[in-house]
Amino acid sequence: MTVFAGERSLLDAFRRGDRAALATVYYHYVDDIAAIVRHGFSIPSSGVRVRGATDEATERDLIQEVFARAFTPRARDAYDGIRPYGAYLRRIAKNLLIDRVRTAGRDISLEDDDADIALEAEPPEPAEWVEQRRETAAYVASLAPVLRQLVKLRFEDELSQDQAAEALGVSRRRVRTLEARIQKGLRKVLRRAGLWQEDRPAPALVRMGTR
Amino acid sequence: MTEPSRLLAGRRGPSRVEKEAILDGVLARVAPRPRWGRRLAIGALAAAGAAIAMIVLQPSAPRDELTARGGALPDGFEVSCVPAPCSAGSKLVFDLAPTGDAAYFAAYARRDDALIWYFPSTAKGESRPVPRGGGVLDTGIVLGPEHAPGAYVIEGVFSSEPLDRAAIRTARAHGRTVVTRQVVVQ
Repeated sequence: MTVFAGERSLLDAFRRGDRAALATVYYHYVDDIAAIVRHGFSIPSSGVRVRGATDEATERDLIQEVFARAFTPRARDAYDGIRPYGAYLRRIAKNLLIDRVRTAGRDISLEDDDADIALEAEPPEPAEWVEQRRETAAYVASLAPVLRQLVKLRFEDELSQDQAAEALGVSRRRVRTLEARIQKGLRKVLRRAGLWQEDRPAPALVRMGTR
Repeated sequence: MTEPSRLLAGRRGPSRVEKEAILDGVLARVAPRPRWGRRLAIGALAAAGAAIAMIVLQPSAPRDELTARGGALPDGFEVSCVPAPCSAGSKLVFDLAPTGDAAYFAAYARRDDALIWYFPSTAKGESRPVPRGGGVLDTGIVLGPEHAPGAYVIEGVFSSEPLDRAAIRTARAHGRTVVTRQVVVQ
């Protein structure tokens, strides 16, 4: 069922571009879209398989692109509030992934653009993830109680900063500070354990005016 | 490299922190906050600053500072190849146009799943100081074999403090505005 079912005021606010309404719609669908972008999909009618994003930054970019396209004023105005909105978002995600494949030089026939898709299954956990999780669990266990509670509220239960702040009885600013501290500490632990990879080398730099 | 917030969540999909940052990026594109509100706030701050300055007889202190912090327009940059068109051996030149209190600039190129860092140029380095008042950055990037022909998205991150790569990733994941430009290497 679409998020707008029986929610006329939400639809009106969404069409106006109200930020809270856009956020409501976004959070309702973001996990579905993230799953397509992450895992890719197959088109059963033709047997074509389209892989998902292979790194997290690309994944985030693609998710953002899906919602940015769906939330343009023109697209919001064009939506009638009746057609399944999730299917509309999935179609955008699907087309973005197909475009990436085509850019990479692989051919996908035009008929496949409108075909039904099947989501690819979540691949098994890579060994690196398992190791990183083990280090993370040990790190979290070593934290002070209030920080452990924050990890649960913000990361495991996915509460907003405001909700977490209320639950902990601190300010939102404090939550933000502690959250950053927790993540920084984890990066340090992972780096020490050799589980934080550095990036590939940069290209040559040249001082302007010297060549 | 796994985003720490995913490890803390124990899930391989985007964490709440990442989802919030993504939403911020979406809203910045489709439903930006009205500028008149920010300008009004800036005006009120400037007026308050001027009033305080008059009362305490420190006429030189607050006005510029407050005006600069307003940042009514977003920071921006342009990138071009010398010589054009962009190809192996060309130099990427960055022309920066900071409008707020941005004092440092980081940039990297993205293509498909690959990331090529420009600034910071090393894993332990930091972003580059922005020329006073903006302008061409004193360091360019020579396009070498790491830039295979194709389209690249170049992302620029302005900040008030120098940032290393990890801090840039975190800032980006936490919704810091990233300015993007496209370059096609032939």
